[in-house]
Amino acid sequence: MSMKKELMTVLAIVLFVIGLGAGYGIGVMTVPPKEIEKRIEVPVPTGLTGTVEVGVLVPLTGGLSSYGEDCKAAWELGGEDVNAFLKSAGANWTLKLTFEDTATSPDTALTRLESLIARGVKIVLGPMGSGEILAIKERAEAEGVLIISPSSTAVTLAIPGDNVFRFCAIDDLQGPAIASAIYSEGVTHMVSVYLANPWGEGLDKATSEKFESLGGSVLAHIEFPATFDPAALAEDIKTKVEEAIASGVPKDKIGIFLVSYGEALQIFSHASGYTVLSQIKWFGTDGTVMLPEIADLAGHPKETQFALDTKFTSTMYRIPETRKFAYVKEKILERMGREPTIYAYGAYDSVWVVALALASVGKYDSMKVKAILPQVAERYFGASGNIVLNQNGDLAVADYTLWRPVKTDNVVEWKEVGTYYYATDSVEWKEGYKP
Amino acid sequence: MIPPLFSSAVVFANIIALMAIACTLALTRTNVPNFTAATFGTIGIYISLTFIKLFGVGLYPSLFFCFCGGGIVGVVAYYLVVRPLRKRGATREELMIATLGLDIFLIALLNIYADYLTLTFKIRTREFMLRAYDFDVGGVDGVFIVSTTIFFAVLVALHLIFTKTRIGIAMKALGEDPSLTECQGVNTETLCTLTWFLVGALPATAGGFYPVYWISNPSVSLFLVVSVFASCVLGGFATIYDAAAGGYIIGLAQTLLISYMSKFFGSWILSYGFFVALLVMIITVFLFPQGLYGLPWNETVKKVRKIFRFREKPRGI
Amino acid sequence: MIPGIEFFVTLIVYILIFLIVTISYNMAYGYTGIPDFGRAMAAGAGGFLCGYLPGRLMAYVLGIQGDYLENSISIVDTTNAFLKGSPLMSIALLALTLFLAALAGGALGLLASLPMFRGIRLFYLGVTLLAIQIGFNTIFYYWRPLIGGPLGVTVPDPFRWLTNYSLFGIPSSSMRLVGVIITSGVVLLIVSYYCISVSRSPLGRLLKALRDDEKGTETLGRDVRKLYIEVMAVSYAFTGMAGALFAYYGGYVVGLHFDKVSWTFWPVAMVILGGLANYKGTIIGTVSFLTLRRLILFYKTELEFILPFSPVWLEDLVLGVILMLVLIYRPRGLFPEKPELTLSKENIRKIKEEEG
Repeated sequence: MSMKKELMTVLAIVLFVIGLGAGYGIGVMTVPPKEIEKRIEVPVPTGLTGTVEVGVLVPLTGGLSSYGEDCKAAWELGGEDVNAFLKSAGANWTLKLTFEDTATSPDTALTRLESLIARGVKIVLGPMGSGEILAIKERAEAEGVLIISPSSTAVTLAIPGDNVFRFCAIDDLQGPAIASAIYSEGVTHMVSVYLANPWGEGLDKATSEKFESLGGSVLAHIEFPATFDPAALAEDIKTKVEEAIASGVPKDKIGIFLVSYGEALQIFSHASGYTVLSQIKWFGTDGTVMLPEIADLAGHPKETQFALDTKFTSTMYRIPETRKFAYVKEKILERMGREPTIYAYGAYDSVWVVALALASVGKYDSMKVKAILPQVAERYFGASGNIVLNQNGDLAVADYTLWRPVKTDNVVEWKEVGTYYYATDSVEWKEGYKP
Repeated sequence: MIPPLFSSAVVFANIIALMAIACTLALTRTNVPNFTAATFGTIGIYISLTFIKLFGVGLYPSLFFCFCGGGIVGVVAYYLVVRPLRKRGATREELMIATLGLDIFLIALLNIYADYLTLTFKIRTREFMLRAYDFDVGGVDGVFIVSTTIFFAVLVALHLIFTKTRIGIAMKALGEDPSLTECQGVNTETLCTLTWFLVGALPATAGGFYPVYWISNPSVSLFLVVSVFASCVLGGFATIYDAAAGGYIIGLAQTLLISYMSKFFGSWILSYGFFVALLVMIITVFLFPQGLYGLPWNETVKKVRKIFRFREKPRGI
Repeated sequence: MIPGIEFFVTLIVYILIFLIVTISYNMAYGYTGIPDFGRAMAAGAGGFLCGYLPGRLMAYVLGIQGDYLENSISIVDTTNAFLKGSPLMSIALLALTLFLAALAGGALGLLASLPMFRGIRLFYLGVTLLAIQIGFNTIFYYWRPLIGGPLGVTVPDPFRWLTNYSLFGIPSSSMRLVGVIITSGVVLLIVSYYCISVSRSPLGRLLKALRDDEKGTETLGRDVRKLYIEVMAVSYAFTGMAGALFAYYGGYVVGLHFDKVSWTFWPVAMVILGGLANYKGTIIGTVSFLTLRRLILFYKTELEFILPFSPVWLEDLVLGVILMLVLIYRPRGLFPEKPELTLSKENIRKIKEEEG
């Protein structure tokens, strides 16, 4: 018996060693062969060589997956364009993007960040969700990792001097935009239904504050978690609406403000069963704008019809249509078969800004890159326009466009129906869509 | 016109009850606490999705394939995992841990399958709903009608099988005393295989209904398994009727009761929906571990039967 | 790509922390036979405590005003800046939290042993504890006042002061990992010493007797209830400390952490694979599983080319397969438990000789 035990011990140790050895072996085999040519021609004087690895945390599954796919395509496009540029400049390094799926879960984002750190990565693009950034922030600070997100908009993350930069406008700007749109549509009483995470809470707060300051009133704040029962939620919303109607508020003055991601689909599915809910106006946010399923009569008739009946209007922050913008839009349309979400443009630009900063610094030093990032961004005019960052490292842009699924000749698609201008704090509706 | 909440609650209850029946069968007939009860449902979801999107089969016809497919997987699970374990005399806990391993394995396989479908056929295999494939009869959703009908049909069919047919009675005996059953010359292997066919087929069929009302993913079973286990515990892991009743109680409580309570306590309570299942399970285990089965139904049933003068039903089905 | 030093350092941190979990789990399951499927909440007790207490404590000590949960990020930032400059305070905070985490764990262990008083054993016990654990985590995930609900909360960093120094050529940013490793190592030593001593003592034999035949042990006059309570309380206390260490290491806590897969199911697999009631086996089981998991994570990109499917799922496939295979073919684990010798081998040999 003890012989067997000895054997098992030895076997276990041997297996362990073999495992590590195999790992080492795989590692050796997959390392690209070193460049033998000497760099005699003096092109871009940079100290970077070989493959420079930048991590990307992207939600490929979970509530933000459709946005994740778009941004992944944009990041990839950015990577390709940057490498083509580096090649033509005769640089000695190439950029490698390593994608990790966060599953739209803060917890998973942290694990993925860990595995990136274990690979020696110090610069990370994404994650997209504010909840995810909150989860990895402390770790990133402790390890000196730089984070550039194209889409997180929670106000709580607007902190000066930290390692988080966001190439998109944040919600204390979006709130007033939506609130003005809601009020401009004639709604005076609204129910705010929001997802329980920093983004959702921030938007609920920002929008409600502005709405009340305009003279409207918020009937109820209904918070729902990621694992919720859509039927019960729809029932709850209906109850609140009926209470309002009973107390004398006319239907066309009642609105529902929905702060969610893809969960909107389920909610619409069940809400469509209540006639009263489809008779009032619904509003969304950048979390629901361009959601394909609710502009899809064939695949999701009930939900799309509901979106049409409720004139479901969602916001998207506005960027000028530059040549770069058109280029990125074209390319992604080719690859994905659909136009990208607005955040894809910021994602594309972030690859360039990081690459240019790295080239300027001349080495893989995330803190040096962080120091010059705002200046590089400011001098770079890209697909998302001029990237001017405020002291919190977030975009200082302000205008928002309003979108709605519209039916023309039996085809439903998302159309731009208006714009909110920060400068004048007002909404301009396009022809044919005036309330 | 049925209120959406009620329709949703009943469909949910049907799904949970069917899974609870299968889970109870696995424990009472083959002594296996089955962790994979809800994951077979997910298998059903994806079989249904495949047949609808790839082969153009309708939602309800595809249920047939869910039934068969789930059954086949159940049988395979029996042969590869359950049988070897029973042969070497594994304890209930060991069987439970093994089914846990199987559950984790199956969910990973389902994820891989979902990835494969998306990449190869460009269909949405995560966060999807199949509501569009349902039909409508005078304001009543088809899924409400079909799922309730199938639930009752299954219950009746199982009742008939277990009381009237030889095989059914033998299966019941198998659960009560395996060695004695073997002595009688019954092939226990076949019976176990048949049982596990049901253990797989029933939840898979139930799974076919799920995407009509709720967003579906390979990991939905991780939420459902709590409700299913709670239903079985509430039922007392005894008869299929108790399991079905347990399933209905939990299913309806999780949706209707919570919604009702939110009117008094506020919207925050909606988040705690599946807490109901947990609480019921804990209360049952602490206060009346025999579950519904242990409650004095039999006297009540006997009295009712005397009134209608039916034949005495054999106890302990 | 070859694993760099960061990989090994992270691996060691995980190994140390999870060894605390598995060794204390073995004491409860391997030796005493308690099928605890709710073990994750023991880690949660310590970990969530880290989310709740240290931040508020430091805010109080430093006199920072304002609602903690509202401003947790800025409060923790300020706290960290202070802690960075005060090694004494950092160590005090760490020691205090670990102590409290052990207490919290122990208290939870007491509660968790309640079902056993109702005579609930085996399978029902496992499922009940699992259900309680899910409920426990759910409350911490949804109930805002505890640790910020779904948003979670950042945790002050008692290791940040180490980044002021740089020893042995280790970059200063990695110094805090050194701190984590040393602290975890110390806790692990204490835990192992206790558990291994117990296993070699008459108490260990008693626990095994309890596992094998509860009624018999009771008949012989032992207070079975007291034993169960003690085992649960102590093993939960240890795991609570592991949870606290993990929370400090990650710097962020949310109700999703300390989930049943990573903190109950994987440890169960590690313990079963290694062999019940056998600490050598537990160590080998823990080390090999964690290494395997980390390697899979690390080589994800390379694996992508080799595997026909996304390597993200490889972990779960492996866990599932290993659980099933081990249970079918080697349920006693790699290092099966030897029968308990009540006399020394010497005496047995002598007796054998005498008998002829």
